[in-house]
Amino acid sequence: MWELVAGCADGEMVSPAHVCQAAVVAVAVDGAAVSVATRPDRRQRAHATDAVAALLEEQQFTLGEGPGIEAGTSGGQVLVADVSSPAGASRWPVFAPVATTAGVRAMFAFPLQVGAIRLGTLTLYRVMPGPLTAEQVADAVTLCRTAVAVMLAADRTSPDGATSDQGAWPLGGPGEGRIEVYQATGMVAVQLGVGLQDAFAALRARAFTDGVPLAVLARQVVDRRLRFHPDDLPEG
Amino acid sequence: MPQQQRLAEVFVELADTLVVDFDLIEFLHRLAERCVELLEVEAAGILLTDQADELQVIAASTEQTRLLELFQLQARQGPCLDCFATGRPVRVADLAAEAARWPLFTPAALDAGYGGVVALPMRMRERIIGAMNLFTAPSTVLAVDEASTIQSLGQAMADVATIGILGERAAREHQLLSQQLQIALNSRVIIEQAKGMLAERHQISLDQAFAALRAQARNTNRKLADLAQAVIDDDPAVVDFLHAPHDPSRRAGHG
Repeated sequence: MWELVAGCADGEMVSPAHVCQAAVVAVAVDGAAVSVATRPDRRQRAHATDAVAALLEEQQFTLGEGPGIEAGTSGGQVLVADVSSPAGASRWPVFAPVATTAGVRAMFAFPLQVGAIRLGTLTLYRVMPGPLTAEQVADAVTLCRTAVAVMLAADRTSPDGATSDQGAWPLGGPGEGRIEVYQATGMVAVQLGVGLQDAFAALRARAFTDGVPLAVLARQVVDRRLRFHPDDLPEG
Repeated sequence: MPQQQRLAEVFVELADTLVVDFDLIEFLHRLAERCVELLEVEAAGILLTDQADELQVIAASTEQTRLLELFQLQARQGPCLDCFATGRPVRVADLAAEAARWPLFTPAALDAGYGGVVALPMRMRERIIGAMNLFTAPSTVLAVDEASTIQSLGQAMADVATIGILGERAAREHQLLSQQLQIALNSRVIIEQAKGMLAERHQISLDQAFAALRAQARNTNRKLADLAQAVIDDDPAVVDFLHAPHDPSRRAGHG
């Protein structure tokens, strides 16, 4: 799956846009979009493979309802075989007709998250109604992990502005999805007085500059052999 | 081996927990603890599969990080993975004698002080949702009948858990179940993150942080993951619950 995403990037730095492209191929849908959850200090950014996917994102955001919104707030997947069904219409009374008019029948929204770190959603659509197969769901979940890894890596650029190859590994890859990494993220958040996402970025930045695997660094934090200080944080 | 009476109590307790909207993670922790108590094993852990068919640790009898890692390692190699892949129990009474079978897992298990392992599938009909893992101490070379008691009782407990997880509604809807498991596994991550925050904020061990979370969840009748999320969000209603030192045996170290 990572090869597919990297192939979509074709030598460029992998971005959520490439994950969307890969999703269209791997999950056999007509379009895909990634929405980045708004943080207080940032505007909503979205990547969509086509105009319809972009419209779906925009309308959901504007109307405040839809599968993507629901997946983002609940942290669970929202898989809709047919938005135009009575169930769809009663669940999203304003959005469902909009989607149907745009020619969309099936929508599948997946949260992009690591525990309490909520990054956004991946939403796939199809013009034909019908559910995803278990394999397609599995592929979508793998793509979500890739998207999360890409988005978290984009948070952390080295001083010269380049990201390292290390950042390109999907979560659950070499040591990223380890329990001590989650625990250390929580500890570092308190040490620095920042949110989990920034704490995770700080952990990874440190692992990168020290040339130490993330899991090893996390172990040191969990064992209380390493502390982070607010002074260590780079400007910005 | 356990008294009939205690055994019956535990099964009633576990069945009792299976009410609508129960806390899956708390339930599985209790199950792991009861396995240790009843089966006289050293440690128990439960791994569930996510939608990408990877095993993830969801609960363990203790929160010792080292033990959790041992369970986690089995997502790639070990008795749990073999058990999950085949749907059949895996039992190794003497890990040292079979070191070649899992070249990464076995030394780690021996190093952590365990000598034997039993992995039991969590399945209902053709559906396998995970595996339960029991570790035994190295010194106790189990008699054959003892080992098979552990296996059969352990399997009975794993079956109770599986029924609990699948539930009536989810069992009918394959996709709903896998979505619920996915949410539960993410909840586990939220709990780990909250444990880290609590441990740091109050300078306690991760084990103590988890014990405090559980106690508070029980006292306030909330789900562990919801409470963990509230801790992460700095919810004023929960921020102070650890301030009263309720555990006189506070230690600085951790597992």
